[in-house]
Parts: sequence; structure tokens; C-alpha cells
Amino acid sequence: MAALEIKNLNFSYPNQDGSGSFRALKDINLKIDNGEFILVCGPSGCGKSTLLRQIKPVLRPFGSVSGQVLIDGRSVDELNFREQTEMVGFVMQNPEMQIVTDKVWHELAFGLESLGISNAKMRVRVAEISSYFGIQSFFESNTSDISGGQKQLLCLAAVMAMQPKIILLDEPTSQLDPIAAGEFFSALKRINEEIGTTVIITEHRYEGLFSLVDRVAFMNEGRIIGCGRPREAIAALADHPQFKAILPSSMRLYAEIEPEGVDAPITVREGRHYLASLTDKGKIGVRKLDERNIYCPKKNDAQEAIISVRDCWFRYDRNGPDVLKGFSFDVYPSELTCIIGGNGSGKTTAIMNASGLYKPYRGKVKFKGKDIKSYKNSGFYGKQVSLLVQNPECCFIKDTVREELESVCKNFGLNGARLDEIIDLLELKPILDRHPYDVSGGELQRAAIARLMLPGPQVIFLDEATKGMDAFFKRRFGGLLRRLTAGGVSIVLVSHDIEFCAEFADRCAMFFDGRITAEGSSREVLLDNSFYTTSANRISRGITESALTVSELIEIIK
Amino acid sequence: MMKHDAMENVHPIVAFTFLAFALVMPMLFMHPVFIIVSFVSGLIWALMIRGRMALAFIFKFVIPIILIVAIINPIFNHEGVTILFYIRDNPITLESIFYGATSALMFGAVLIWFSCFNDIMKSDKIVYLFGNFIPSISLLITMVLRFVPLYRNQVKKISVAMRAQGFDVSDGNLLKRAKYGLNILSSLITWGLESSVITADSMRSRGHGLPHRTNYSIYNFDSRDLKISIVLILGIVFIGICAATKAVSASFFPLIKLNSWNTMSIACALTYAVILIIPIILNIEEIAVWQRLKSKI
Repeated sequence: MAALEIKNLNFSYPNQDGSGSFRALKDINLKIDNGEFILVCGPSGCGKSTLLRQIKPVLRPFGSVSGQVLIDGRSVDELNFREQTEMVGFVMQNPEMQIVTDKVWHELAFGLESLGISNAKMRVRVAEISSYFGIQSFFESNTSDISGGQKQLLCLAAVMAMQPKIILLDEPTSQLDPIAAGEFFSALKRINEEIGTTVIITEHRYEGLFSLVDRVAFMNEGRIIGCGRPREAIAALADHPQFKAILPSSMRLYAEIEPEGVDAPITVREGRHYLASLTDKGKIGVRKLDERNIYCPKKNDAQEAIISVRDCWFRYDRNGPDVLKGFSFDVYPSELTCIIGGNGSGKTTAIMNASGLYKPYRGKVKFKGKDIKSYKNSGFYGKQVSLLVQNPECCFIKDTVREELESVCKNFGLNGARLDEIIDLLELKPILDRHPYDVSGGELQRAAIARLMLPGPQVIFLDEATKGMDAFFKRRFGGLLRRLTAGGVSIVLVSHDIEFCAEFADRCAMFFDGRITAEGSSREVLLDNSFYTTSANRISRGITESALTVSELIEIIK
Repeated sequence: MMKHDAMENVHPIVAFTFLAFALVMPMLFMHPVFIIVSFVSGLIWALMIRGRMALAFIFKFVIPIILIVAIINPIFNHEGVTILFYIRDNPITLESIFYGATSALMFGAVLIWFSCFNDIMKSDKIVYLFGNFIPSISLLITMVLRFVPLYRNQVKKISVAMRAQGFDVSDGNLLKRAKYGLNILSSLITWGLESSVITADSMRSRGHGLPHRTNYSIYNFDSRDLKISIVLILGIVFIGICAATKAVSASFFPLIKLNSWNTMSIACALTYAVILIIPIILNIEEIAVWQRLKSKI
């Protein structure tokens, strides 16, 4: 019997103004076997989260439902609260807000306490679950003292402690860095394989997940438009070619050669194998990459840097470790510079120093040739230099995006023409009257950039701006950043996202151990790396001419 | 920094009973001998817990308070019959000096014991104690303890985010600064509402609200806890009997009058001392065991 069966499911949200409703799910049919690992993907707002919440009625949003969701042949609406709690676990996006208690051990036991399990039994469960997930090392810590990756692992473990049959995960790694996300996925895979729990996950990071899951369901505008084994995804998406752009690099390569194929390579290893087999058999011609098609940054070295950072040393505590150790860095006019580097390496601290918000204890930061400290108290931040932190929601005060932008205009004495110009530039029309918390992560990021662009700064710093964006949106976002730099703004983007940087950055700087270890055009920096580089580069290395992006690779082999 | 202390591993109920006893006794029972015993044993334990940090606390805080209380009492309290001298026609009596010294030492002892209480009875133990009586209150405390660092962190994030875009609370005239300060508050409230919706979902999804909620604890009541409890209970009962039968007593006015020292009163003082040095004994025992084990390795 299927673990979960969804039959002709429809769901509509009532419209905000009370007129009619918005159909978020349309005729969903899905059958999931016991112990299956399913990925539900699609652009933001396609209804994936709404779908997950239908499976656990206590979390179902307000609206009207028709159709059926059956667990083990029983309708979920017949399950009482206790049964729902025991059978279906739910992990959400934001680990910070999901955690209820102050101690790790208490968080693990929270669900068990609700179920009224005796203390002796709870001890056994908590012990086995923390051993299984490797939580012993921070078992007695405060939940506020552990890292983001550990927090999300804790949320997963706290749900697993109740031994659910099905767990639902709603973009669980969107707030995590790639390393922590990888660890989280492998923990999920272990649960799925060793315990046999049925896993249904929605995610934007497909690269690591495609090789782990049994089936992928693609959603668009409330419908499931294709579902099948990951290898068959290309064929499943035959009617929706625009979706192919979001697939892992190896699959995109494959889609180019065999648009109807059902045995696509997924990982880099399989991709290399596939590419080698193509070239060996002489199936494809290998060409030189056309120099003119390579995006080459303008050489700005002759030009004067707008911000120059020299030998900065910084620490948070007098007795603490140095976070910056001789950090030197230049920002050139109208360039998009990406600072890439591992998690916790101090990239954020680096831009806080480069923008003058934090003061290094040694070293100099100059803005247009003058010490950045001398610009203080004169509307410098906002009008000249501006920075957007990792959590854009921190910047929003008003109830709608429009009010927010208007209040910024008032604060800086700007006229309506400027506001309209920025709204057009950042394509904000559709979300102007919505609450900043109701829009998707990518839209919020765009609104936050609009807020920051209004006073017309010359240099903007963005911290992890692509975090939690889906693949479609990332491309649009990259184009938008290009438009801004073309308009004369210098952008410094801190990111984990190598693929994004390779595609859109004019200049790339690799940050490690408190300083920049390599700097240059993204080709110069990334092409020679074999670990810290794009998948397309890993696939093509040594087989064809090295390509940095999939489109380059496709151009080479065509 | 606080070092590891043997008392931390004692069951919270036992530790709480002991500390409550040690804290309340000097206040209930102002007997110079008992106060000295309490002060000295508390002092030694505090040094064991915090080392040099405890010295700083004692010299900067406890001793000044002791001195102030000891000096102020005889100046304002003129009871007692043994007049030593006059300050501006006000008699200074031996009894009041003696009473002042005793109560000052009592203050000192209570302060020291209270610092020990704070070091040993961490939030999770307090939550555990109350959780046994009122489960919902204990969950509430836990959540508050979770939210305090969470909100503090968010305020920091918001103020940096605002400053980076030209809304600096530490810049501009008073009106502007107040406005920017309100911005932070308003952003915090919105964020708080949003996050509490998610937290509530997370609690619902893990069955919060089901009847018959239980309380998880990580504490074990072991044989050492039992031994300490027996010593504590017997000791407290015995001291109670001695106090009720006036075997030990102290009055300061009009004349200083302490009990006469017989077997019963000496036994009572010794019992008090034995109880109060329990943490010291536990710590010394731990050190001794370690030394012995080390020599065997």
C-alpha cells in the first residue's frame, strides 16, 4: 500500500480583499510508496509549500480544499491530533525560529513531552536519537550557541525522535551554507535508507539532492508538470523546456545532446564519464571556445579604485582571534566583484571593514583616496556607500513595500521620479502593495536592494544575496546586478554560490584565512581550481577545453 | 571563569535544598558562632568555585558592604547598656557594636552564599525544579530563556543593517536618533510576530497542546544524592530541635547573652558546620580521587 496518496487535490487561498480566491494547487495526483525519497521542485510560489502543508492538516493554511490526501489508506482529516503528530514530521525553512526551548536536550525531547511519554522512555529515545545524529558533542549547549547547520540538524532530530513514518521538509537548507546543506542531505539520506522513513522535500539546491532522491516531482503554477526518476527528468520535462535550465550541470549537458533521453548523468563523476564517452566515440566535434563569446571583464587596473583596503587586521575581542589578517582589497567603479570563500571564514567581517562600518585595529580603508573615517556623520552611508546584510527583513519597518520605499524617499529628501525609476529598474510593480514578509526570499532581496539604491549610492555591498533564491530567480537577479553596474554602481557581493559568481562577476576574489588569496577575473580565479570551482569546470577538466559554465561547455562540444 | 564544581553534579532538588538552607539560616538565626561558621565555609567554597574571581568579588563588593553595615549600626542604634563613649552626645554601646559586626558578617555570608547559588543553580535546574510543580510555567521560562538571546541578537542585526544604510541611531539630532531607535523597535516587533507564528507552527507540528504533557529531565538521583539528603534532613531536624529548646540562642540587647556551651549546643554548632562544608568535602573528595587515579595511570 502506498504510504501517501494524493488524489485530485485542489486548494484555494481566499483573496486578501475578499473577492474570490486564488487556486494554489490544481488537480494534484501523487502516489508515494513506503520509504520513498521524493524531491518536489519548482520556482518560488509554485505551490510546493502549500502542497506539503496539506499532508499535515494542523499546519494547513486557511482556504478551501477539495480532493483527498490518504496516509496508509486513511484520510488525513480523519487522523486526530495525536496521530498526526506521531505519523508526520515537519521541518521548516528557518532553523532559528523553529527552535522552541533554550537547551539542545530539551528541544530533542519537546515532541516526546507533548506526546506524554514517560521520563524513562524519553531518556532512551533522546539518547539514541542524539547518538544517531551525532548531537552528543553539543547535547548540553544552549540552542542559541550552536551553528546554523547544527540548529537545522537539531530540528530534524527533534522531529525524528517522535519516530514519524513520513517526514516533510520545506526548503530546509535555504538558510545554510553549501557544506552544512550537504551534511544535512546526507543525514536525510541515512534516515531514509537505514530507518526507511518516507521523505518528501522541497528545495532549490538540486545539484546535491538529485543523486540522493528516488523521484523528482516538478511543479509549476500549482500543477505537477512532471514526475519521475531523476535520470528521466529530461524526458519528463519535455513539454517544459524552460525547466531544464535549473537542472544539475551534467543533466543540462545531457539535455543538449539527447533532449528526450531517459538515462541522464547526475553527478560530476557521471557527467565526466558521459562527456568522455561522447568525445571518445567521436559523436561530437570539439571546438575551441570562441574568445569573443567569453565574458571578459573590462580591465580596470589602470583606473583608480573607489574603495581601497590595505592590510587590515580585525578582531571582535581584545583577546579573541584575528578574523582579518592583512586583508587588502580594491573596489573599482561599475564592477561586480564577488568575494567567495568557505563558511565562517570572515567574509562578512571583511565587507563590514571594507565599508568602514567596523574599524580595523591596523590598516587603512580609503574611499576615493581619503580615509573612510573622515566621511563620518555626513550622510555617507546611504548616499555614498550602502550595505545590505544577510537578512534583508532587518531593513523593513513598514507594512508594505511601497510605504517602505516612500519612507526612505522622505528620509533622504528624494522625489517621486526617483522612486518610479527604481521601481522600474528592479521590477517591483507586482509586489509593491504586499507585506515584506509575504513575498518570496528573492523578491524581498530585490525590494531591499531597491531600498538601498534609492539614495543613489556609488558602492553597494551585498551579503549572501543569492541565499534561498531559486534557479530561475538567480538568473534574473544576475541580470539585474549587471544592469546596476552598467549604470555606474560598484557592487561587492559576498557569496558561497560559485556557479553564480562564475556566470555574473566581473571580478572574483577568493577569501581564506583572513585575507584575499586570489583575485582577478572569475575565469582567472576559478578555472585553475579543481575543488573550489563550478561543476561545468569539474566536468570538462582534462576532457575538453576547460569551461566555466554549462553554456560554455555546450558551445565547446557543439 | 567558573571552574567545574562537584556540587554541579548533585541533583537539583538536593542542591537547591542545601543552598536554600545555607542562605536562610544566617538570616533566621543571628548567632555569632553560626554566622562565622557560615561566612568561613561559604568563603572557602566560593574560592573553590571561582578562584581569583571570587577574591575580586569579595574585596570589591562584600568587604565594603560589611564595613558599611558594621560602622552604620552603632552610629544609629543606641540600644544596649554598656556605653563605651559618646559621639556628639550619642552613646556608642558595646552591644550595638557587637550586633553591628554580627549582622554585617551575616550580610557578607548571605551575599557569598547567593553568589554560590547563582553559580550552581543554572537556569535549566531552576526550570526543572518548577517544572515538577507547574509544567506550563516551566515551558514558559524555557521559552523566555530561548527568546532573550534570540531577540538581543536580532536587535544587533537590525541596528547594523540600519546603520549600513544611513539610519544610524548614534548619529544626527535627538529627534532623528529617536526616530531611528523607533525604527529598530518597529522592525523587531514585526520580526517577532513573524517568528512567533513559525515557532507556534513548529510547536503544533510536534504535538504541543495534546493532553497529559510530561516533563523531560536529564538529572539522576544517585546514591551520593541520597547520602547528602540524609545528612541534610537529619541535620536540619536536629538544629531545629536545638533552636526550639533554646540550646543555642543569642540576644544582643540590652545585654549580650549567648547560650551556655554544653554537649547539645556544641553538637548543634558542629552539625551546622558539617552541613555547610558538604560542597567543600565533595570537592576535596573529587580532587583526592583524581590524584589517586592519576598515580595509577
